[in-house]
Amino acid sequence: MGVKYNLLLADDDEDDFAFFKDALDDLPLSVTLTTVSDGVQLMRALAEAGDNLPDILFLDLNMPRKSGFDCLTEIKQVKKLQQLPVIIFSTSLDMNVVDMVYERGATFYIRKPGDFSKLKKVIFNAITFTFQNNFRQAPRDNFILQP
Amino acid sequence: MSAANNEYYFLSGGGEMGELIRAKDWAKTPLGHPATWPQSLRTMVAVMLGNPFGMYIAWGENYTQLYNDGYRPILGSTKHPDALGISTKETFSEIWHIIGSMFAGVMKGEAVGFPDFMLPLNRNGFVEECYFDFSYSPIRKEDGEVGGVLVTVIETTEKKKATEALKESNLRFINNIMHAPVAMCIFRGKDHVVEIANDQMLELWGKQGVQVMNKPIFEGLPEAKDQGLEILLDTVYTTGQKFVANERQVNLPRNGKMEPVFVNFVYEALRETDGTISGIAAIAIEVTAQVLSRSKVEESEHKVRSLVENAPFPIAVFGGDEMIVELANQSIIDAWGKGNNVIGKSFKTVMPELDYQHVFGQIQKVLTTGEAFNAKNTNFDLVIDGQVQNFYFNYSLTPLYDLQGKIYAVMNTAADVTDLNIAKKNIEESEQNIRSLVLQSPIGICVLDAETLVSEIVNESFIEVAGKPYEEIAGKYYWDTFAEAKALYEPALKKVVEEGVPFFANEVEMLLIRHGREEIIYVTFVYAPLKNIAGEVKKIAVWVLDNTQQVAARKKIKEADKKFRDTVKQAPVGITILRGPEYVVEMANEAYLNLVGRNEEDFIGKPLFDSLPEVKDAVQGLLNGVLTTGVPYHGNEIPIPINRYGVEEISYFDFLYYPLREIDGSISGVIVTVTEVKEKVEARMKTEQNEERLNIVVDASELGTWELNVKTNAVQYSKKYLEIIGGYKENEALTHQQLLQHLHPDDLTIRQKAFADAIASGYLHYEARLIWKDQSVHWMEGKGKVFYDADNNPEKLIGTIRDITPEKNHQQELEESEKKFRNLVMQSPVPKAILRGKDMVIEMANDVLLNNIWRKTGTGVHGKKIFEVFPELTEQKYAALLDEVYTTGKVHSESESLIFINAEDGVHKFYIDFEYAPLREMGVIYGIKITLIDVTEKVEARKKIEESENRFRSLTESIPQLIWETDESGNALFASGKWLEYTGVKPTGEAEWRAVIHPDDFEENAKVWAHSLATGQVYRCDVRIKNKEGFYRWHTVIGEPVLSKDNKIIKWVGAFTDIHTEKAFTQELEKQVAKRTKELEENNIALEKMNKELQSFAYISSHDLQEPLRKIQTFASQIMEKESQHLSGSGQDKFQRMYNAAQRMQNLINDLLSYSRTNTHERIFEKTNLAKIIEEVKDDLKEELEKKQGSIESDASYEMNIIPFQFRQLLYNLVSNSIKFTNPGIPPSIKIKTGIVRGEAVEGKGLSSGVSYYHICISDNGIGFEQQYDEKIFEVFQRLHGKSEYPGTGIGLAIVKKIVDNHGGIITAKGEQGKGATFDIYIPMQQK
Repeated sequence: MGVKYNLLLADDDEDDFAFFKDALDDLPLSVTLTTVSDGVQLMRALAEAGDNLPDILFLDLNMPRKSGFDCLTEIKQVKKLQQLPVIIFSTSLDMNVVDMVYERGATFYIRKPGDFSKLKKVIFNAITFTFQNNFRQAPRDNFILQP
Repeated sequence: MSAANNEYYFLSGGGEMGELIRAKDWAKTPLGHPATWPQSLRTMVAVMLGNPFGMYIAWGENYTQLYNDGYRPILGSTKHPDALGISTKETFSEIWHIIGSMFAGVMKGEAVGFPDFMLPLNRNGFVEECYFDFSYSPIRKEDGEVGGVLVTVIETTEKKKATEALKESNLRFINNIMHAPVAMCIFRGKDHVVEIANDQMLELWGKQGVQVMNKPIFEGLPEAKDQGLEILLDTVYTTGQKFVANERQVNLPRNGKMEPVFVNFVYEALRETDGTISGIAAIAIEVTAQVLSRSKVEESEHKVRSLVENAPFPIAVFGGDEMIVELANQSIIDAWGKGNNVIGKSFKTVMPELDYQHVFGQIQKVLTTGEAFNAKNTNFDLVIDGQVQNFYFNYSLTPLYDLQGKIYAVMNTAADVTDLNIAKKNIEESEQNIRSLVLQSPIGICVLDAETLVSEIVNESFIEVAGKPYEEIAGKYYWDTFAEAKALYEPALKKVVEEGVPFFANEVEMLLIRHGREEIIYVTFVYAPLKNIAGEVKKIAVWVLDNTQQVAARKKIKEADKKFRDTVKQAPVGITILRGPEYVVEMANEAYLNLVGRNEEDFIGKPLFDSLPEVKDAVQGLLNGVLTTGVPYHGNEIPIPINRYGVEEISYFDFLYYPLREIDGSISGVIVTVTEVKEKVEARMKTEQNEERLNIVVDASELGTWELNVKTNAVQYSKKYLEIIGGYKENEALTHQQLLQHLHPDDLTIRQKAFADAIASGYLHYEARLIWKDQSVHWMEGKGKVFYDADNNPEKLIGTIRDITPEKNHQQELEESEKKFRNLVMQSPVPKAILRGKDMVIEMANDVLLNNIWRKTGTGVHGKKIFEVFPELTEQKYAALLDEVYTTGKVHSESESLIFINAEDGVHKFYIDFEYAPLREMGVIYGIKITLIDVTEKVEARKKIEESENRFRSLTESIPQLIWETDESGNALFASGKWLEYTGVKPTGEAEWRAVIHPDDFEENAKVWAHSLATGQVYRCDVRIKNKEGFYRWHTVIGEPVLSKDNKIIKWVGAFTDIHTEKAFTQELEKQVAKRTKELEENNIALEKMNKELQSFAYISSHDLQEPLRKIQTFASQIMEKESQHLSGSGQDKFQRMYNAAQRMQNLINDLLSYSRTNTHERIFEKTNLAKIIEEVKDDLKEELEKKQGSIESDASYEMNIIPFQFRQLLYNLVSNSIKFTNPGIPPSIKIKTGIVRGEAVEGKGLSSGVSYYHICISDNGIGFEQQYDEKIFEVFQRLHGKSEYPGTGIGLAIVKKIVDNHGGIITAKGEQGKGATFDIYIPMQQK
């Protein structure tokens, strides 16, 4: 792919962070991964990044201090951050929640799969689809990325 | 020292003065060292220093001064600070002579105070007047002696200033009022006490100050009472609203009398600073003079106006150069003749014809110069009603001045003197005429003095007749002048003078000497006495006419006459000359005498009718006509009765009466020529008589006659004909065509046919309608005969017509009335019959009677005698009644009379209301009209009702309820005996009800009862009724309306039932229910709590439980992926099992979650296409289906009202079960069938009847189940198979069941081991 993408993962769970990292390592993608472990850290990191924003943000919903949902809402309200693709990365799959984050402008919704190979697949798909889709929000029917 | 002074508590504080006091070396003063000061001084000093008010102490005999900061300014800069510690005497040496004694007094124990004492102080860089309350009080020492003087000062400058300002402003206020140019006063308090009143006001009131000041106004000015002013003042005082009066009339004392005064005044409330009203300021201006003068102006204007309008002479006012008519009375408006609409218009446009008659110039001149203009007898041409007429007016134009003395209008008054003028003119003319008449009179006139008989006036004619010169007559003695006539006429003249009676001489021969010659002349003269007022004859007028020529002429005529008579005598026709009004026979010839059968001697010289009295009636009128009018009369075949030689007969004569004129043209007689034509006339008269007779006959028959020439259509007709044809009253010449137009258009064909028939048959006869001139329609009958010419062609029709309208009308009326009567009888819904004659023959009987009562056919009875048809009537009263009616003519009617009629099927019994009424023709009874109504049913029904009523009443006595009955408006009709037994009273009205019904229940019961009465709804209420022992027992009352056939309420029947026991039971029951309800509510709350807990469990399981599980899976899969080569086969297997276990747990959690969600989610029903859901489920299960090569068939096509996502889950679970539980090796075949069923059509499944259900049946060919488990399978965690065989959580069907429950539906399962399962789902079509 040639280009090196900057990914930002906001997740408070160290295990999930390790899984994500392992998965990325196994994937044929040239990426750098930065992590933040809660919503407050996330918003600070984004504010400090200036023009050097990540290419994709993977956002866990269930985070301490500031939830992923609140972060998403804020991000979409800040003009500079509006174009940042946000992929929701959550343990649960509640349709009401899915609808809400879609409305708020999330790009994709991923339910963290149990199977590691599925995890790799779904992360890969998320990244490639996002680029192929030119960072635009997915249509509602394809919003939930299946592993 | 100062350091020492600091030690004294009483010298502490005190600001600047404190410091000064402390710094002072008091040992050098008469007070001595502070340590030696007496206690009272110490205390006072301490008080003084601690006080913000000015305080000053003068201690001891020396009045040694101490003072504080507050007092300092009072001393001013000249005395402070030296004053401290020295004596008052020294400090105030300049006024010590004034204050010394006062200080001494205080020292003796007398306190003194000076309130508001003024001191000019320079405190702020300028000198100002300051005010203080000074008080000088003694300071007593411990031993009671006065040790010093304490002066306390409170500044009151501000207060004083305010007071001063107030005083000043009050003064100004009063001043303002007192010197106001209008009347002003102030009333204080609610009694309106006059506080201030200026002179103008007093003048207005007509009072002296002392009379009113400080008194309530209506006390000081009682004259003003009761004129409505009290309420005005009170209102202003209470409401504070300003009152303004304009030109109000008030009666006030003036010079000792009450006089009406007009006042403009204002009452305004006076408010205190806190807003309360303390008084009223009144301002008034008397405007009596203005009002009076204005009303005078108005009055005078009104007077002028009414003067003008009512003036009997024409009057108008023209305003300005345009001469606008501002005022004009009817008189002038009439004179102008231009109608009433002239006010406000320019006079110039109203009367344009006056333009050239100088009037406008005159008005203009008056307007500009102010000089009045008068004109008399001026001639005007006015256009009255479009016609120019001549008038004479006396008129004047007077300038009218306004208040500024400017001319603003011109008043025009006029007198129409036209009549006067014309009369005068006429008189003048007539005088002139008379004069000229006298002078030029052809009659000679000479006036003599009666005493002297000297001629005084002589006219030309007299001179001419006298034939003597004027000089010989005028001024001469009459008999000197006419000496030749003296002998003959002197006595006559003398007699006239003496007796005053005129003397006439007619055509007398007189010998006169005329023109010197003796001449005989014929004169007619009169001596006429002229008398004065006293009746004395003063003058004699001699009137004379020379008749000489006439006399001569007459002589000539007489001669000619004689010749004429001789000729006449021999004439063959009868000729006679009759003279004068007596028709004296002057002459009659032989022929005439023969004609009348008279002798000449008896006839000539006698009045005609003396000799021929028999002709008088016939001819006198004719003769008179000729004699008076001079028009000759030609008599033709005139019948005249005549008596000739003793024979009286009527003979016929042709004759001519011709007037005989004298030379002067007057008619003096009639010449009669006559021939007898008796025979000729008699012959003709016979013919005429015949015709006359025919006419009489025709007239008598009211026939119109006509004759029509068939070839030319020329028509002749009589007057009567015209009248009949068109209602013409006069003769008119109408053409045949015009006559035909009167024929009614609808009857034209009748006439045409009649005429065509007439041409053929020779006789015409038809009847037709005619439309008269006045558009009324009439009937005529025409008859005629055809006359033929030589060639036997019709030549003419002669005929008559007759007006037959009355007959026609009568005939029609008759027919109609007969028809009506017949119809009345026949169509009457009431049985009726008509009997004719003494034998009572049935002439008519209508169907109702025949069918319902007589039970006979019309033909069977018509024309037959009634007693032959119904012999049974003779055995009953009816025969006798009929006979009686026929003979007496009296109507007989009866109600509900029993009658028996024999019919073929036996004897019938009826009750009838009947009437026998006589029928009359020309007053004679010819038959009977029978009317009868079958009231059998009514009578029997009533009897039944009466019976049932009786039964009902006796029943009421036997049952324990209290039965009642009311009429439709609730008035008691009946109450069963139990009532009395229970309550001891009989309910007849409200009072009784109130007595027995518990007061707490009464209103409610009355309301319910009123509602039922108004609406007709069943009356139901529970009330407590008091029994005669005085105890209340609960009763339930039920009242139902009893309806008539037409659904009207005729009465109410009801019962009171004792429910006391039940009521008590019910109350107990209600108590228990309430208790249970409470328990239930508590349970509900507990349940809700549990539900919430469950929900939170669902949340936890959905997220928190899943997370560790997911990690176990991830780690396991990572190890298997990356580390499996480090594991033994057994290790790998165990890892796989662990992974599977985690997977199962995740499924379990997911299923549990969805199960709980089916509970918690909102139930939102939507119209959803079932086929679409099935498609989606198929899509979801595509992989599994393909894996097992299964198939799904569906006929679903319904739109169902369901919760879409739940229903999808339902189908998903069922279908995935079918795919899962298959027999090994057999591909699943799933069938989904849908339909709609009625609840009652499905047995044994608990469907509600009357409800429509969607029925979805899902069947498969899988492993099925044993029927005994058909309910168990829907329970949670129920599994029928091992996990290894068929993995699953055992929740799927439980979810299905729950979803069906959510839809209010029912699901049943049917299974057969190894053969398949069928699920029947029923969902109600209407969701609640």
